Amino acid sequence: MPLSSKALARFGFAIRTAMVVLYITVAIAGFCVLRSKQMDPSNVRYIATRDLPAGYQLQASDFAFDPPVPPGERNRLPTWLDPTGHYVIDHHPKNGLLAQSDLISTPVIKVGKDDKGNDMVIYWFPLQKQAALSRVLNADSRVDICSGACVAQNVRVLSIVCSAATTPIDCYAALEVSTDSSAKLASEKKDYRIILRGDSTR
Amino acid sequence: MLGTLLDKLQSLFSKNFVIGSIPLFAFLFLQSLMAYRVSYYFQGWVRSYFLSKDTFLQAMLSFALLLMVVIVSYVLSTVSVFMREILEGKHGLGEFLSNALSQKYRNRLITLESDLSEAKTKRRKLKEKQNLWTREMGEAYQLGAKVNQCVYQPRPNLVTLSIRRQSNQGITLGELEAEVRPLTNTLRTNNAELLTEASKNLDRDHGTLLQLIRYATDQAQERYAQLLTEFQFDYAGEDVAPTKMGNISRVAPHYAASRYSMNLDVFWTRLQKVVAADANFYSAMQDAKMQVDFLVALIWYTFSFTVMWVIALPCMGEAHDLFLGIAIAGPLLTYAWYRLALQNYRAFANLLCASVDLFRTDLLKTLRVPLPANAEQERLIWETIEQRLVFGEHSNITLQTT
Repeated sequence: MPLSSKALARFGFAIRTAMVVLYITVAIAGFCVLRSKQMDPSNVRYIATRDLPAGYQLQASDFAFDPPVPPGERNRLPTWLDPTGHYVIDHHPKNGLLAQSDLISTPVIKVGKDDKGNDMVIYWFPLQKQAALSRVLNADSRVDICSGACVAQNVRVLSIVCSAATTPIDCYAALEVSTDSSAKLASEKKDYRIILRGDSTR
Repeated sequence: MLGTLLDKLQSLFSKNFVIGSIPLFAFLFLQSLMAYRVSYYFQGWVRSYFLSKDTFLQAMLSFALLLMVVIVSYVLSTVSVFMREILEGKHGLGEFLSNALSQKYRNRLITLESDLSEAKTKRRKLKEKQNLWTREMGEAYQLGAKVNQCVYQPRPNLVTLSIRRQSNQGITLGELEAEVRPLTNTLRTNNAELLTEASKNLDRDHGTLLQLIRYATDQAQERYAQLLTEFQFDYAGEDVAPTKMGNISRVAPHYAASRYSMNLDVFWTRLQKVVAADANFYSAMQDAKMQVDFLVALIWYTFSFTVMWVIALPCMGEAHDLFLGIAIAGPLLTYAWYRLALQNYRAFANLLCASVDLFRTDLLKTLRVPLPANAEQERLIWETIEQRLVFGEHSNITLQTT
C-alpha cells in the first residue's frame, strides 16, 4: 500500500533527525568515555613491569601508569609526573605498585656486606670511555672490572649517576666492591674497563 | 609564494589537478598532526626520519610522500563524480528512502509554487494600484490646490505604517487602500500648499503615502524575484531529489529539456567541444566546476576526519582536549562546506543553462544540421537527433553540405 505524503515526510524527517541524534549520542558517549579515562595527576601511581631493586633508575619501559596513560599523552604530562630517570628507594617486585613517595630524583646507594659479613665499599667508576654503558647498566647489574686481567669479578652495580649539566653527559657507575679491590683500583693507574657479564640479570 | 608554487606545479600538472589536490593535502596534513598527537610510535618515526639531520633521507621521504599524495589524488579524482552523486542522493538510498527524503522538497516545492503564485498576484495588483493611486492622488492634489483652506488632522495609521517601513516589515494592499481612500478625499477638498500647520501635515502625509506605496511595490517585486529564483535554481520542475544538491544538479538538464527538448546528458560532451571555442566562457565554466568539486572534496574529507576521530579518540583514550573541538567544529564545518557547495553548484548550473542558450546553435552547425526556422522546429530537431544518436533510429536528418 502506498504511503501518504504526510507519512513519507514524517519518515524523511525521522531519518534526518535520527542521523543528527545518532551523531550527538556518539559524541556525548565519546566525551563521557574520555572523561572517565581522564586521571587526576595527584592520584597517579605506577606499576613495576619488572623487578626493581633499590637504587634502580627508571626507564620508560620499566613501569606502567595506574590509571593507564595512553602513549600519546605521556609527553604532555607535567614533568614531575613522569618518573623516568628517578630512582627507586626500596626494592619493588614485578607488578608491585609504586607511589610518588617511593621514588627520588637523587641516586639511592645502599652498600651491603660480602659473603663473610665484611662491609663493602663504593667505587665510583667513570664511564667517559664507555658512555654507552650508562644506558645499559642499572642497579643490580653485574660487571667485571678488567684491564687485560680482571681485578674484580661479578661486581654489583649500585647505581648509575649522570650529571646532565655537562656536555657530553658525565656518568659514573657506583660499584659495590670489597675494600681490597677498592684499594687496588685506586693504587694501580691502569686503564680499567667494566664488562657487563653475560649472566647479569639486568 | 603560494602563487609561484601553484604556477610551478601547474607547469607539471593541470590547474584543476593542483587545486583539486589541496583538500587532500590539508586532510593528510591534519591526519598526520592528529597521529603525531596521539601515537607515541608515530612521534618516534617522525623524529627519527623527518626531523633527522640526514637531509638525503628527508628529501627521499618528502619525495615519496609527494608521490604518494599525487597518486592518491589521481585515484580520488576518478571517484569525485561518485562522491558528488552520493551528496545528490543518487546512490545507496533505495526507492523507499529516496521517496521519504524527497518528500521534504516536494512539500517545499508545493508551498513554493503556491507562494510564487500569491506573490505574483500581489505584485501585479500592487503595480496596477500604484499607477491608479498615484494618478488619483495627483488629481485630488490639483483639485485641492484650488481651494483656499485646509482642515486636516495627521493620520495615526500612516505613522504606524511608516514605522513598519523603517523596520523593514511588510505592508499589505488592504492597509494601503485603507489610507489612500480617505487621504484622496481629503486632498480633493483641502489645499496642501498653504503655509498653515494642517496644510504642511497634509503635504507630508501625501508624500509619505506615496513612499509607502513604492515601498510595498518594491517589496512585492523583491519577494516575487526571490521565490522565482528559488523555483528556477533549486528545483527542476516537478522532479524532486532526496537532497538539495540533488535538486540543483537536475536544474540544467531540466532547463535544456523543457526549453529546447535537448537531452543534456546526451549532448553535453558534444556541446563542451563547442563551448571550448569561447575561451573566456569555457574558463569561467571550468572554474565554477572546479569550485564545486573542491567543496565536495572538503565536505567528504571533513566528514571522514570528524567521524574517524570522534570514534577513535574515545577508543584510544587520547586527546580529550581536542575531542570536543573536533566533535563540535567537524559537523559545523561540514555543513558550512555543504552550504557553500550549494551556492557554487547554483552558479555552475546557471552557467550550464547559459551554455545551452548560447552555444546550442553552434552545436547544430558543428553537426552540420541546418538551423531551424523557429523554436518549435528546433525542438523537433533536437528530439530527432537524440533518437538517432541514442536509439539508432533511422530518422532522416538533412545535413548542410556547404
